[in-house]
Amino acid sequence: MTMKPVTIGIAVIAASSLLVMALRQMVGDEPASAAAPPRSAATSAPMRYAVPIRAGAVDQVHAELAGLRAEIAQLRAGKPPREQLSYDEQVALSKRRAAAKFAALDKAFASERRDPSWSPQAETKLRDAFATADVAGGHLEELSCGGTLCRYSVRFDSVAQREDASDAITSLARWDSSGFGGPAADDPRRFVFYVSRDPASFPTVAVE
Amino acid sequence: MRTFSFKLTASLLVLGSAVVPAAAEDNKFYPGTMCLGSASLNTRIERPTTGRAINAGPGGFTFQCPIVKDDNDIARARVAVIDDSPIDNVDCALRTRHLGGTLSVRTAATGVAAHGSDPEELTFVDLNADDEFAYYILSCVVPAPYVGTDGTVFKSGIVAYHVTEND
Repeated sequence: MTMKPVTIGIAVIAASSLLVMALRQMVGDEPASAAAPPRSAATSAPMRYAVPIRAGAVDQVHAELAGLRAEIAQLRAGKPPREQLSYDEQVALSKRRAAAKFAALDKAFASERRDPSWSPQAETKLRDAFATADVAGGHLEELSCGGTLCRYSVRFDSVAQREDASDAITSLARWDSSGFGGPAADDPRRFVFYVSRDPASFPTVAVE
Repeated sequence: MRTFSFKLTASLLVLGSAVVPAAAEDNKFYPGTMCLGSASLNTRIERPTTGRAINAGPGGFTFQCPIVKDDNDIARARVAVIDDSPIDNVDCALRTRHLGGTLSVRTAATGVAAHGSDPEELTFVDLNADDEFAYYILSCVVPAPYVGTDGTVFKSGIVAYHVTEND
């Protein structure tokens, strides 16, 4: 449970300002009040009463604020600010992450055994869905399902066609599922996609 | 003295609320009427004052529903749909499009048995979007209106959707 440091800072500053204002009004050390003319009865404004305040109360509030500021600093130290990367750096990072995910999924898929009660039916469903999706310029190159994971690749005549069809070819699984895919590293016209038997069975892939 | 106590209590309450950590999730609720059609010019979408988006035909088509990305990933999401077609499903997909063209996807479908005018909820598990420039897309394929034997027209559409991001 963390809170954004900026939000905490704003909230604490606002709260401390309110608190200090309230205490100043109560102890009568508000600078403007000294020069203000006395209220007349005709204004019918509520009367302000001078109230006793325990000696040292303001110091105690300041001490509490100092403690809160220290707590904010501690929270900030625990959550470093997000690294600011340029657009090109972000693209490079995204590609590294994608390569790591593809490598992990390749490995997971290679270790799978077919499930006769699911794999053939899943392949048929995906193949039928691709046929009805009428994907312009797309050719289903490869389609295979293991026990919990399917992999298919679609080759397009152009990168633009691949972009246009990315929605359709990642929606072929008409069941509750998780999936990941994208352009193949060796051919940007080819789209490779992994989809799971159910949302929970998709391999967990740790990336940087 | 009572005024002092009241002011002090109020101030401490404000101060106290400032240091209590906020929930680590960010919830957003969207009406279905925010969804846009992505099909041919012949597509007709009804947007009644109930806030829904309904496929008025003539064919089935895909609604694209915008989602604001405030943080880095979705904890869960759900979409309420009307699937009033006895022959087709409402198929929804929640995607993150990453830089470099890769997509992380979650799919959910109503199933033909859902036929009825009551909203049905489709749910999605967590979805990663750790690229700064990544964005979310919710899309739903909504079947064409179905005309019953007595001429009654059964229309399907999107009622609302709810996305929870990890803060």
